[in-house]
Amino acid sequence: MVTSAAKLAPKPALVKVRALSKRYEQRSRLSRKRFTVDAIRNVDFELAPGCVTGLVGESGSGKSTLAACLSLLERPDSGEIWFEGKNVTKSTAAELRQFRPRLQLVFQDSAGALNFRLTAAQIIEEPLAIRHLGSRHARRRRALDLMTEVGLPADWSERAPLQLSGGQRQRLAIARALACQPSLLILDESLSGLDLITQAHILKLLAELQAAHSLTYLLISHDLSLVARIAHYIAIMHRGQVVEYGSKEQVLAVPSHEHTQQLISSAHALESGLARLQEPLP
Amino acid sequence: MVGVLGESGSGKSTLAAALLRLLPHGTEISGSIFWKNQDLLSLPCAELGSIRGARIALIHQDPGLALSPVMRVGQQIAEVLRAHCKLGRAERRERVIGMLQAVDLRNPERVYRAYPHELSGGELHRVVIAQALVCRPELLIADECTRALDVATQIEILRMLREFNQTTGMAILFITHNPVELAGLADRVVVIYGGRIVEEGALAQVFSRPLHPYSQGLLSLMPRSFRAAGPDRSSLALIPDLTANSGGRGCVFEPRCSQRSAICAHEQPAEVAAEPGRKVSCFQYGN
Repeated sequence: MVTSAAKLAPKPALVKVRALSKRYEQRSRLSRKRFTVDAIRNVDFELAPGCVTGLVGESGSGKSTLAACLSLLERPDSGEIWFEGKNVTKSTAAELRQFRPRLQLVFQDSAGALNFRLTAAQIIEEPLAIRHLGSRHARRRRALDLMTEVGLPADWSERAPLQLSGGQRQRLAIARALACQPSLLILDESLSGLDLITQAHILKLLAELQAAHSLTYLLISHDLSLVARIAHYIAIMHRGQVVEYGSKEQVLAVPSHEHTQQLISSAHALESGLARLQEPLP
Repeated sequence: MVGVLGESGSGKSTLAAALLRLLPHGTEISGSIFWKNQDLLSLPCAELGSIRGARIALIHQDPGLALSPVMRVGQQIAEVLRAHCKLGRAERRERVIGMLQAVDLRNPERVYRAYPHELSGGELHRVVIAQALVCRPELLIADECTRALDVATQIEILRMLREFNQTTGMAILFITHNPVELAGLADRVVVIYGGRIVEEGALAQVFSRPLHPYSQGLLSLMPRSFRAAGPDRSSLALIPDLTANSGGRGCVFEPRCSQRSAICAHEQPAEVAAEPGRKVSCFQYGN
């Protein structure tokens, strides 16, 4: 059973997604035959404002395609996306320029997501410069403030991304995302591949930033146990569909879909060590 | 099966590369690495070549980089056999297909003919494991070999390694930043920080009662059960986000240690046997 977010969230939803679908056409490299992949199918869900919603699923379940469609980096084939009460699905280029600063993405591969030819401060200033916001001096001041806010020393402003560790680069990516004062941050596997200590520091930072800026997060991950640490709501994706959605307590305590039950069992198997590893997979 | 546990930058992968003398040319290495009473550091290159890949195998953390994108996967595995075993082409092919089957790859014939970009992340991880195991090594060094995989695939790979360890007697040095993975796998654990071993002991001992402040902090971040109302990771007393003291004077963990004393900044603690079979490098346990 998919629980209605409206029952869970007292405030109107920040994002509403209705019957969203995206299909990719591909061609086999060997036989040259064309085939289609339904990356997301008929997806319905809502993001409650000021809350963390975790989107969990295996590799290839459609999580990143959903993030790309939400940010309109990919145009959905059908369905609707409502953001802050407006239907943004068919936004024009001018409307997109208004919409995009309100929603920012932080990707997993921070080394690939940041321009390695720019310095840390230039990376944060870039979205402001593109939108001609503030003077050069004001943009630099804002960049240094944001660096301090995410825990990077301001005197690292001239460092290049490759001079920073993975965790520090992720902080820089978060600072850049915050530059345009978004209301929604989509964190697409942003914590994957980081060690537990760095992960814990970034989670702490995200919690602090959320409190300070009333941010809404969509935390995308394949790691249910990580998502369960900070999410208020959890959506489970499987083969392009959201198969379960509800409050964290409800989804973890009374999982109704078979795939959610499998994900919980897998996470427990890993957490409880050898005794469970020797049992057959659910 | 020994687990090497530490955060990014602690020196885990450097240790793995040093064991097989794979560090860049010109790197200064001191000490000794004994393999069956032979010091690998003083072994001529030809002799080392007969051990590397055949008797000691290494799985890299990024299978995308470990495999050539322009060669079929089966040929890449067969290449290892060609270098180390005297087998005919048909025998090599048979052995590679058998190995692909042993690492639970469905349709091994298809995988044999595939290029790396035609396989999923989980399949690529299994391919590099098959490549490492095809010569039936006595020691496998697995460097973060389940990194960035989803939990179900991670469990399947961990279980497979454990089975190989139990059925073939192959020793495994399992390198990871995630203590959760070791909980189901290792017999002993070595905790490494700032390029030094700070604690070593049986897994049950170290995980139930870590002695070194770094091990204590790291293991406190291990998720217990997310169904239980435990503390969330963002509210734990975190090890401060600072870099190791690599200047040479004092304990490497001193800048981040909540239990430091005056001596920690000036002297490097020696390794002491805190309990039978257990070593720790911290002034709290006598030095």
